[in-house]
Amino acid sequence: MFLCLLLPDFRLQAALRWREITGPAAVVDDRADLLLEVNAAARALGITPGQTGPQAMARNGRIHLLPRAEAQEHCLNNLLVDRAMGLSPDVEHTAPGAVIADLHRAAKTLCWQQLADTLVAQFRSDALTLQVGVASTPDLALLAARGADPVAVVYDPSAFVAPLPVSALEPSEAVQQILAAWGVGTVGELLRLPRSGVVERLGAEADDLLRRVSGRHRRPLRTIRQRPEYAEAFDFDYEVETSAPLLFLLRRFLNDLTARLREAGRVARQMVLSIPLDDGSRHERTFAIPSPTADVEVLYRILDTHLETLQLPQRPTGLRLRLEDALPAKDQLQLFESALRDPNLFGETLARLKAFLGNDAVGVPIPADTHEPDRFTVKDFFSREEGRPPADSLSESDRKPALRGLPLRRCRPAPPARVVIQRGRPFGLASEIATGAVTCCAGPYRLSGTWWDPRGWEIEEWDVQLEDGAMFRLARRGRRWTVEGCYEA
Amino acid sequence: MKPEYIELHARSAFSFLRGGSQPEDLVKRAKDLEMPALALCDRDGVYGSARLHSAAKETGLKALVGAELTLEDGAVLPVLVKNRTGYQNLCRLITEAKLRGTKTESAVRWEELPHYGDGLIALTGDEEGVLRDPEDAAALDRLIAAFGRENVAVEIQRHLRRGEDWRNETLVALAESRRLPVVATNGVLYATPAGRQVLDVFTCIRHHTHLDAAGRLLSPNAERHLKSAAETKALFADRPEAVENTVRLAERLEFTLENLGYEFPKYNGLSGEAADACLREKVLEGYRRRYGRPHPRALRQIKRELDLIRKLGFAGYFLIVWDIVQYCKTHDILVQGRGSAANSVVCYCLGITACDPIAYNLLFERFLSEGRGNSWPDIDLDLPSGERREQVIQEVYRRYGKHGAAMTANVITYRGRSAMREIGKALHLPADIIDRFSSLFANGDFPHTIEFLDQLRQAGLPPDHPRAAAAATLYRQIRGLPRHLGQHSGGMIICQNALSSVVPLENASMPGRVVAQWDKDDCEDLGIVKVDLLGLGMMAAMQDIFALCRERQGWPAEFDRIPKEDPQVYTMLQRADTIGTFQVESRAQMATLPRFRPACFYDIVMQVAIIRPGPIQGGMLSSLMARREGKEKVTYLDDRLKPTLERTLGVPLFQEQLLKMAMDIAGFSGSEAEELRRALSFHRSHERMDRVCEKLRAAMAERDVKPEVAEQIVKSIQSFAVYGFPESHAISFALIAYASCWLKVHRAPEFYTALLNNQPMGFYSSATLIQDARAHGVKVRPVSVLHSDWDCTIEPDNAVRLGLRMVRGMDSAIGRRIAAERKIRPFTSLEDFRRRTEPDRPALRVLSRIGALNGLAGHRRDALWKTGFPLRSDDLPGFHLENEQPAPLPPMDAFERLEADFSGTGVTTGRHPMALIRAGLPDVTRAGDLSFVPNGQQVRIAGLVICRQRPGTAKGVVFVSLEDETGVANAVLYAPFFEKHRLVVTQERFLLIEGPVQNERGAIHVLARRVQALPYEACATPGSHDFR
Repeated sequence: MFLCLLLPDFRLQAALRWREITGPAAVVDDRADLLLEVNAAARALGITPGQTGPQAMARNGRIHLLPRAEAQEHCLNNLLVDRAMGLSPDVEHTAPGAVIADLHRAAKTLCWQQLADTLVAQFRSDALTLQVGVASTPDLALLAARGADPVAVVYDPSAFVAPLPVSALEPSEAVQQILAAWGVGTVGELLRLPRSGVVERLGAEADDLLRRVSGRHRRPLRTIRQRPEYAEAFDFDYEVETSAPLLFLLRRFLNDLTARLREAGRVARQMVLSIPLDDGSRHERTFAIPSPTADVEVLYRILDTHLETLQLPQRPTGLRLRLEDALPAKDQLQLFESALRDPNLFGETLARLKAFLGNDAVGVPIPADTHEPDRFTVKDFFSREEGRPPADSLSESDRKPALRGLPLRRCRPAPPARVVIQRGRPFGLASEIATGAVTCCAGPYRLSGTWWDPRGWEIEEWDVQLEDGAMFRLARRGRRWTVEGCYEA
Repeated sequence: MKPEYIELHARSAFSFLRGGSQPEDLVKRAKDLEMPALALCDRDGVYGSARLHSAAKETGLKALVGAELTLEDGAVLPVLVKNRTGYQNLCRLITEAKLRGTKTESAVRWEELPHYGDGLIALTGDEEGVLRDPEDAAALDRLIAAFGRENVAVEIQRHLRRGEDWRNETLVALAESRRLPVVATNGVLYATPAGRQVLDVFTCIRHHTHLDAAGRLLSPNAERHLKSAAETKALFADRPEAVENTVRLAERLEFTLENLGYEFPKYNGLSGEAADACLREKVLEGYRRRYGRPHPRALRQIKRELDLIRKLGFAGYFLIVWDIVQYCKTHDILVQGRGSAANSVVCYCLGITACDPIAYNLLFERFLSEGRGNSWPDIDLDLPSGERREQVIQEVYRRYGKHGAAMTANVITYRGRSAMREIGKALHLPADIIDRFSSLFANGDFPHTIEFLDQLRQAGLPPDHPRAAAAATLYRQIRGLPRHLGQHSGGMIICQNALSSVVPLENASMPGRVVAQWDKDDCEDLGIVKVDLLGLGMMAAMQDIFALCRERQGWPAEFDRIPKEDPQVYTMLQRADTIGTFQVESRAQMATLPRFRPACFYDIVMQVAIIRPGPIQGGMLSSLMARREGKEKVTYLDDRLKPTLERTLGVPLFQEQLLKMAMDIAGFSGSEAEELRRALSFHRSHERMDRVCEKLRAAMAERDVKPEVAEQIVKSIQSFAVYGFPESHAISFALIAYASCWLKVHRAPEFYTALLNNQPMGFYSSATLIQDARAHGVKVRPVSVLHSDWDCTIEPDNAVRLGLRMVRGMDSAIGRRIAAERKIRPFTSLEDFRRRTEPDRPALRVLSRIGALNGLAGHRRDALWKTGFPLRSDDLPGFHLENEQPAPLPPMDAFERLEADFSGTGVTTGRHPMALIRAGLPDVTRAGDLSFVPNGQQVRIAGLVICRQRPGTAKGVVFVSLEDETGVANAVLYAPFFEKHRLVVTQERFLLIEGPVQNERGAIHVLARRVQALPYEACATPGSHDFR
């Protein structure tokens, strides 16, 4: 027998995962603003796939319109495959949200209904709706899963397929349109037509469809041999401003992922945290686990420590977590070999140390692509990220290195200053690094940017020379003056 | 006072995404800064210079002309025009480049510069300029070689950025080494610092990026705005001579657009007296044809008009237009002049217009008067839209050449949705929010009923979103700015010599079309004559109707043969039974017809004119209605106005009346009155409007008009001067409207057939036209391969047979082949049909689905089954024996047929969709029964939404028309109610509306109190019957 695990309304389930949404909801194709899948509450309101977002809103203003969550879909597919592989080594990933397991090697005494019920309950505990179909061929198992409520075990194939809608066979759009024009709505109606006539008109695809519903054709599975992937993902509706929602989600991710690890008798040896940001970039960090474990608390503390002081250049739009698994360590130390008492605690200490110094204090500074002076980003020493924009995006003047003039020794942070202005120009300077009358000055140089955002900035710079000949760069932001640096003559 | 600084290098938003301000805003700012002159150098054209010129003329600023030329090596060269030769060279140079390249790519070659350099002064530009590398002496030498040393100046700019001092010093040193003057400019890209934001957004649009990612592509600061002489002097305090040089250089720029040197072409080479004599001859010939017998009044008017035409030197213009009209007539193309030309008996006699201005007492001064300066008379020709109009346009190109004629431009501006789309992208807002905004506010936005931030909120962007404020500011700034240049629907300009030396020309996106860089207002302001060759769908339909009449009954074969003052036409108009007719078919027209009750031709003229923003906003509509209904006494603001306003019951309605009022009550001459009208309708200049209003008030005061009366007169003149119709134009349109009504009454099959063949046109869809045809007893038969031609046709029993053109996705070659083959020999079987016409599989499928093959098969699904297999050329006839047997498929039911009809043709000749679900709507009143419902009674109406309208004049009120099997029911939704239910009203295809009936003398509508979606699919069958 073959057993099919199917997550109905797969794209919607993926988009709804980790969300506390009740009431009508639909997943929307962003490019066309068309509804792809809707939940039962939406369907009850006359909202159907294929409508546009505004049309759905016209039917019910409170409907949740969710974009497709492709990362979450990927994770769900992995989960399905993982669970199916727990049943049989011969598993086919038939379609997004559908896997088929070959259970011919299973014990003869196995109760299909009981097994399916267990699986449904298991997925339900993960807040997922699963439909299970069991049948003598893979295609029938898939069809059974599609029509299951939530479990269908097929003993009489022809009685089972007759009432199914032809759309359950997933014919191509062209064939589906022709069948609809023929008034053929169910598989039974299709089977009542002369087979040769149908094949002559619809071609090889029709032949395949008819074979699939016959219950006699057992095609070989396209089995997969992939390692299970322990990953979870989530995309936020809006960019988040604080780390609280990240931590909340990470804990839920870890609960699920470590449960799966434990089921498989494995531990995490490395975590990869990836945070997509609203400018399209992403923050990614790999955490090696000093002592591989499946302990939620240990893994969570590592992430918590990292996020505690993490300052992102942009706001997060999503969250991804991947655990790389390994067998639990069984090595025994040598007699005189010293071991860390708690390697994970040591890793955590290192992370805290880095947190104390600041994330930005370690790494390679890269000038940011902005007119704002002295703005830079820091990348990890071994990161492959490119910091500078491609040369063709720069104007001619920016492309040439500005090597003219005296070198500037920057003060970081720039100390505040009091500047006396006369006739619109600096006349005197008082600051912790220099004080005196200004004998000559150049400027102002005006720069401003990010005016479209509350983070907008505006700077007026002056170069001044004091009586003793020392030269400084002053900057005014609003009413606040600072000494940006001194020129080295 | 001697000027101290002249800005010589400014770009406007007409540099398309490279400038942030309208030319008018630059002028306004320049005036505030007390600048005496300003040179506009738009990128690769003089797009904004006409507007700058017009605005500058009002303020006394001298508008200098220039352009930035993109050179083949990517450098940008600003040039300034010294004299007319220079201007002509500039226009030719740009035209050469533009016609050589595509619409968006056109570079000037270095080698062309010496050839066209005479009369131009070259600047070296900014960081994008010829001296991008300030040490590139070779580039400067090349420039000197092209323009001559005395015509090159080295440009320095200071935008308060680090590094520019070094650049400027290097440039000055280079200038000194070549003994060239240095000029200071501000490289202006926007009028005020606020324009920087617009420019940054435009930069993002150009680079297909967004503000967060644009980085150093964006402006470093907001310094590239117009600066006063004092500011500029302070900025270049170390280079005072560079500032002074701007004045010296500007003194050499003698040219302004005042001296354009445009000349209208001569007819057959005739000029002066010869042209006058020729025109006189043609007019008298036409006089004899039009009037038949002596008509002294007409003759007197002809003499008066011809005298004025001679005096103004316009004879050639009339002859050219007459020539175009003659071309149309000899090539069987229906043509009729519209607009103020209908005020001229000369135009009437020349056959340009169709209404007799003598019979209607039309005021000639509205068309032509002595004091109009260099302004040419405006003659618009209505032609059948489509191929016939294109034929006339191509004939004009053929006669005057690619460099001699062009379409006027149409400046496409950022409107509500397009502005928001670009702003949304630049601000990196989610795509679904932008899409939703577009979808929700597709029909325009009304700030008086919904705030912009509210619109954003409805689209999914909360008002407290960090970028909502920036979106709102940018929306205000960007709306109305030019987006790109299109071509005007029909305005053509022609020139005696090369038009390309008057205005640069460029390729339009439409093959075979050349477009000028100015729009029709610019051309008019600069005295360039425009002939509007406008396409009217109704003209095309009428031409087809006449052809059908000729084929079938013989008359009326032409427009002039339609009987006048037919009572049945007025009965139909009073019933508002006007779907498909010209001008009087809109919902608003239909709502007023039963109250207005037109009973003679002049009533139609008024009816055509009254549903306009001017009369509605000025309260003239309600006043005229009340007076016609006897609810309001006919009074006049002043007794002196009685002769002018009597025929419109004391309510001023037409522009001619405006002129006459000013003549009667303020003693204005004809030309003064016309100047008043033009000033009031010239919405670009408030000052000009204020000035003429003041003159009017003063003149009225002199003639003892009471101040409060004078004020009322000024107000009423102001309100409709902008939008009001000329009476002559209304008459021209009323002629077509009357003719279309007559044809609907008396030649209904031909009328509907022609309308269906000319879709899309008019106000209603084919589906509604078919319902209307059936309501008028015209049978409409479905598409059938045994009977249908490509076009819709009329069958011997007067039924309309839908043509194969109605079939969606049908290739016209296949359609025409089917019709042609059938004419040779009728089809005997499906196989015979397939073998002879060779339709492809999709065509066979759609023909089967809509029942077009029913004559060769049992039913639609039978045809689907029997045509579903491939037919091979080597199959012997009768090879497919199973085709003799009925198909194993059930026939379609009524809903399925309906769905197939709508998806295959967009129309149904079967039952109306509402008829199929009527049984499920027991408490819903049918549209046809509304007239029996007492005024004020609550009803529920339901139907297919055929029209949603929200006129700008209706204070946000929305009018919705619902069609059912008995007709059309209208509902009125007040703005707050609409905003509450916006989504339901705008998104649902079928609606159910509840509210009290308002029946005013047969004008019936339901005042919506409740509205909800009518889930047609659910009412129909459990399956899907979605018409979308």
